[in-house]
This record gives sequence, C-alpha cells and structure tokens, in this order.
Amino acid sequence: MKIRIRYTTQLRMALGIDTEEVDLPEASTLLDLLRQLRQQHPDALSQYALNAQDALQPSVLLCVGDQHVGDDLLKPLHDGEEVTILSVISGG
Amino acid sequence: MPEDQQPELVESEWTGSEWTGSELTGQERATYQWQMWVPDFGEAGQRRLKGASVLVTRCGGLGGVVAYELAAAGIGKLILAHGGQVKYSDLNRQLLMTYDALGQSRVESARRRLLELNPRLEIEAVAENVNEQNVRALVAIADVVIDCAPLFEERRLLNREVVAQRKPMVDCAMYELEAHLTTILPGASPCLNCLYPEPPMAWRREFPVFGAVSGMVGCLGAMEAIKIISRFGDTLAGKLLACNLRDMTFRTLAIRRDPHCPLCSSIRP
Repeated sequence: MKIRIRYTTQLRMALGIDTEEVDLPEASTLLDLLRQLRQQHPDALSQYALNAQDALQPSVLLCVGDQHVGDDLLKPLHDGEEVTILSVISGG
Repeated sequence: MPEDQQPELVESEWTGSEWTGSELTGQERATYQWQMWVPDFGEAGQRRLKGASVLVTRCGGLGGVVAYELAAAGIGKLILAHGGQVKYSDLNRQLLMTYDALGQSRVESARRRLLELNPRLEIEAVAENVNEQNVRALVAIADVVIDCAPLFEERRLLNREVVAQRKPMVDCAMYELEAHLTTILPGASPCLNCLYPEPPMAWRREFPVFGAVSGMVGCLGAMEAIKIISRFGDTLAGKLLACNLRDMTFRTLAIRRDPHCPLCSSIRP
C-alpha cells in the first residue's frame, strides 16, 4: 500500500523535502512506517522522529490525515493515507 | 444583541471567569463602531474587551502584532513582558520597535507605540522575559495569556501556570515560513505538556523569519483572544492550526489530551 508522508519544520529542513511516498506491506502500522523512514533517513529521523529504542521523540506530533494520534505507534495504516510528522517550533 | 442572548462558547465546555465588561464612552463607540457590527460580537463583546486584561509575552515579531491588534480592538489592559533593548535585527519584523528606539528598552518602545494608537489602553510594561520568579504573578493579573515566547522554557513556565491558575492561553509559534497556533483551555483541551512534554533535542534560537509570517500569526493569536474574551466564534481549543506560507497551505489538526499528563489530566472543565 502507498502512504504519503508530509514533513514539517526542522525535519523538512533536515531532509530537504516536503513530502514523499513509500510502499508498505498491507496491515503495516505507524511504527513500521517510521522504522522504514529511519532506515532511509537515519540521522534526521532518529533526531526528529523515532529514536533508536523505537520511541517517539517527545517533541513530535504524529498525525494521520488531520488527526493527532498521540503515541499510538501501533495504529494500523491504510492505503492512500497521509502521515504528517510535525516537530514543535518556537519563535516569534 | 442583548446580553442574555449572547451565544455560549461553542468549542468547549470550559467555563472560565466571566468578563462583565465596562460601559463604553462616546469616543469608544465611534472608534469601535465597525467591529461592533460583527454578528454575535456587538456592544456586549466590546464591553467585555474593555473589561479584560491580557498578558502578551514576549512582544517581538509575533507578540508585538498581537498587542497592536488587541490595542486596536479596544482591549482594556495589556500586560507586556519583554526584556532587552531594541536591536537592528528586530526591525525586520518587530513592528512595535522603531529605528529611533535602537538601544532602548523594547517594552518601553512597545508601550509608546501602542499608546499612539490607543491612548485609553492601560499598559503594565515589565522589562523582563517570563521566568520562574515572575511567571506566577504575571499570569495571576491576566484574564487571558498569549504566549509568543521564542524559548521552550518560557513556554513551559507559562503552560504550567495557566494550567495551575485555570487561565486560557493562546500559544503561537513560528519557524521560517511555517507557524503553529492553538488555544489552551485547561481541562478542556490539550495543554502544551500534553503535546510536547520535552523540548526538542536540537533547537537553534535564531532562525529564518519574515515579518509577514510572524505578523500573520500575531493577528490570528489576537483574534483567538478576542473570541475567548467576547465569547463568540469557534476557537482553536483542541485543534492545532499549522500554516505553511511557502505553499499557502493551512491545516487544522485535531489534537488530543494526554490522559497521563502530570499537569492537566486531573482537571475537568
């Protein structure tokens, strides 16, 4: 199944891309997705999303569609969904 | 619209303090006439603004515009907290700072500029950033807090105090051409700790910024405060507005409380 990922703020700047699409096996979860992304972009994803212990970095919000999913990394994904990795920002 | 027909705040069941408002003078009616035509706002809403106090911290690129728009709208009192002196690098976005005020107190420059627009405005200017020693007292004298602070520690302190004191807070932030905005109603919406229990591993204090971006967020933050105080419209309680001015996308994300949040999980509306 195809999942679209949207990157924001610092993660977007670290990767140099706004979005990408990945192929995942059916019945994959958010954790499966993040692990795959971490494999593709080890430094940026480890720092801004999923650490080496497979825990979500505390300064990140994960959204599926427009819904914040908290730390429910075992949430199953469905073909065509969009996942946003939103890192906290601060400034004015 | 008569007072007893004012709509309830629809976005949450938060029942904060009631702002009874103050009578308007003839000058005020003339000044705010056009905004009193806004449905569901009217004279009752205007009186509530006049009777309310708002803490804005800090008052730079983002907070300065918040303060200016609240002053323009007829807020009764602003409490401004911002330390330091005006620098050249402030002047691309901090609209309450002026070239003539370079090297002088930021918060005094803000006071002067705001009173030029609205001489009726009561201002309490504190030449300090929010810190552990002053945050409790600053939040205590405000009806609403608007967090425009650039440092996570300041935001953490503000969040802690608004939750403890059950005050609404509008949280505004920007980075490059992106911005986030949410409204915290303790017990009814996520607090900042629900969303970000710890600061990011790597964060650079200085970042790319256009005044147009911080100004936009400032206007949005001011409007959130106006809606909270005047009790009309739908706020961003329980939502995060994520803006990207690079591609002009604006998304409203539904955010959730952390059921284990040590600050707010035990609080109910």
